[in-house]
Amino acid sequence: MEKRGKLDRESFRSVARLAGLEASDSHLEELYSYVEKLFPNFKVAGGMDLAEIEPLAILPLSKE
Amino acid sequence: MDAQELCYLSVAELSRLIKRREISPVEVVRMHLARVETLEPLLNSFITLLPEKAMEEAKAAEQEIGSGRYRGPLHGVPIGLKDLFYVKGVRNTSGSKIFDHFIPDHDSTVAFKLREAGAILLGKLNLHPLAYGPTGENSDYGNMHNPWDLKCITGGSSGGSASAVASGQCALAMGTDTGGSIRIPGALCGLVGLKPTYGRVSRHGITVLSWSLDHAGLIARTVEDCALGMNTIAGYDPRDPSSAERSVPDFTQSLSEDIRGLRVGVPKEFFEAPVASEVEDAVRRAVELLSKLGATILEISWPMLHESKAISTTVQMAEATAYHSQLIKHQGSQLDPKVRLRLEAGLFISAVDYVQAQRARRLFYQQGCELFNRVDLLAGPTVPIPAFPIGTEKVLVGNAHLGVIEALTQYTRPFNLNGFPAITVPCGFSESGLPIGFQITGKPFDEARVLRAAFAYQQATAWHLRRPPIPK
Repeated sequence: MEKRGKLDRESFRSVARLAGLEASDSHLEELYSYVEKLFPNFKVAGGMDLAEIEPLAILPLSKE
Repeated sequence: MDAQELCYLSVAELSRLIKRREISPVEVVRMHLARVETLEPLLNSFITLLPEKAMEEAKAAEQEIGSGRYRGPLHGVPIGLKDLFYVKGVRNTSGSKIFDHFIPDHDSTVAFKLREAGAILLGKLNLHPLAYGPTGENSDYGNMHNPWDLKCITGGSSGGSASAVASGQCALAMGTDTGGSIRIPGALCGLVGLKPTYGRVSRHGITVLSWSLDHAGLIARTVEDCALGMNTIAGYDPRDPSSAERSVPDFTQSLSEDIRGLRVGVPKEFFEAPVASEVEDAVRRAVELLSKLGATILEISWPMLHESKAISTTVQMAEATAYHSQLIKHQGSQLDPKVRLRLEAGLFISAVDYVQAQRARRLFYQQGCELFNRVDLLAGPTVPIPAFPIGTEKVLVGNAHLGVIEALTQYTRPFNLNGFPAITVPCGFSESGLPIGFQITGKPFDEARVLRAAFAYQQATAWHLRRPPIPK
């Protein structure tokens, strides 16, 4: 699906179909342009050194 | 006192007059409603107005106060709620026509607390649809307009809250902030906007955008008014799973203590990012003033600041898409077109991407905590540019052409990601007469110190006393 943080059209269509996204071709084209620009952001964290780091599911602020 | 002067009194000033029975809540509410009637065609701050209900509540407040049952500083004070705070029996659109007829059967905790404090709700305020955008543009209920220049955006998503307070339509308003939605419109409309620590104010009964990034907070004309509002809305709520079991101080108590000795860090990364020179100049002057007031200024480094944009984008989009998944599937075509794109884009974030972002978020949080071992507060710009015309897609920020979301949220998002408290206060005006905001942030649950520094700055300046050039 992803090569160097890029999303190709075929993978985009496939994910859209799996997600049950029903829309016109022109809308999907608009969405593809939008997602293509954002996509590298989604991959930034995966490129970081996160060894021994657990996810922060809830901010650890709730108790005194 | 003429009607405009009265409508621009701060909550603190208004409540003193009401308490001493020098003015009646009925008169106060009547004058504010008249101002709303005059200004709404220009500003479009409200989605639902509640004039009859407000007058009934004002009469009840007048009777109560007359019989010696004064409830406190918000008693009889006219307020507005962003139209995603549930109020039992009052429609709640969340800024989308899809919810045009949705009437909640219960109150949000915040609405309940404000009513118990005697505040009078004038209406539900306009917002970016589903609170998913930082401009205050709304294709369903109409764009919000900035009182300082009607052609310009208010900022969002709490744009109606900001335009209503800036124009004297209400004394105080509630907003929510997921990536800057209180502080951005606060800054662009020349106001004070406080995003408290995550967990400090209940999210119960507020339409979700992103569970782990959403914060409820205040928009006001003065720092003191934010402190008064916090005294009412802060506190543990078992109905909000993220609510903090923390003691709540009196936020007004230490407001006027001096700030000598406070260590204020200015991350160098704030000014390495694109920023308009007039904003940078105004903010550097504001930092200098804190120094003159006795604070120690330290240039520091916040290395992960740059990554915070990508991390928060991933977390926010995944959570927003999950929350609105049924809406996307069944009513996508009825959504505001830009909001629809944002929601659908979240479908392309994998589970692995989301978890990696939450792991990176922990690192970011830890780095923030380490910063606050060396300083008491951070200071910098709220928004890197003043307001720009409605409909703008790209803006020039310094030497960089940026998309409007990226530009507007670059300084605010980091504090949603770590949940630390943050306030914006007005610190100047652009050459074209538009407000500029100064952001002060603190360590978790240290709102009192954030408010104290902001109050000291506001007491030493007069930016908050300027009024927008709208009709009397």
